[in-house]
Amino acid sequence: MIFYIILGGMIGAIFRLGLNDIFRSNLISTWLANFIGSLLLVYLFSLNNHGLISHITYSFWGIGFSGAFTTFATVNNQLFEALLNKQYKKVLILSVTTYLGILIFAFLFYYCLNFFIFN
Amino acid sequence: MINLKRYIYVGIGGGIGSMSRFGLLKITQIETILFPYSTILINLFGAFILTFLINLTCFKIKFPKDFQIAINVGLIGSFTTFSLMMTDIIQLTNLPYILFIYYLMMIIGGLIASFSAYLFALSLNKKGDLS
Repeated sequence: MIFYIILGGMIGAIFRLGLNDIFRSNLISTWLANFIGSLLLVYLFSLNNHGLISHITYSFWGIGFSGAFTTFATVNNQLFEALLNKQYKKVLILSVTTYLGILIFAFLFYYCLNFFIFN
Repeated sequence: MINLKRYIYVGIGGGIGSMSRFGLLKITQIETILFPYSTILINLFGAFILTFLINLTCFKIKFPKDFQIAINVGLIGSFTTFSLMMTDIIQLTNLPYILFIYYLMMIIGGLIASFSAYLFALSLNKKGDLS
């Protein structure tokens, strides 16, 4: 199982770097990685709650890929640097879009999944 | 231009980061405690190390750029996680106060971790200048 987690983690990190190279802007690529990765894990989490997914699939896509694709340290550091440089508008946009925005999307996605698909 | 070597390095860092995250989760989280403190531990630790390395002058001078990216983007980026935070929160929906405390500990704690790492790195940079 640990093998699938490592493999998923390698691919997740490579995909995040790929997004970084495509978008040039760290802010957009990090947000997008966190957004996509979070929705993926919410989907797998719902599947797992209903016993519809194997241990290996969850290890590879959930713990490995989605865990490595998303990141907390980078967002946190972007926020910290914006605070340090007194860019308060950037602080506001970053924290609202990431900490509130992705959370709302994750919740909506979770409830929609459970309402329309897994009921 | 795609830097293939950089992708390989980041992949290796990502593998190590995910493995350490999974290992730490298994070791530190006691199953009878519902509060997901392990995720906080992992994210705050990663946040501290990232800000520390970014502000540490000798790390930026002494190591090649690809190695720095393998550590910062690959290893620490994969070690810390955002998606697990989301599913942790979904599991805490029935306990809104605890959910709020969890999220606050993560966000404010992350900024405190970054600030202390920043100060620590600056003090080490100063020491390096003097000697």
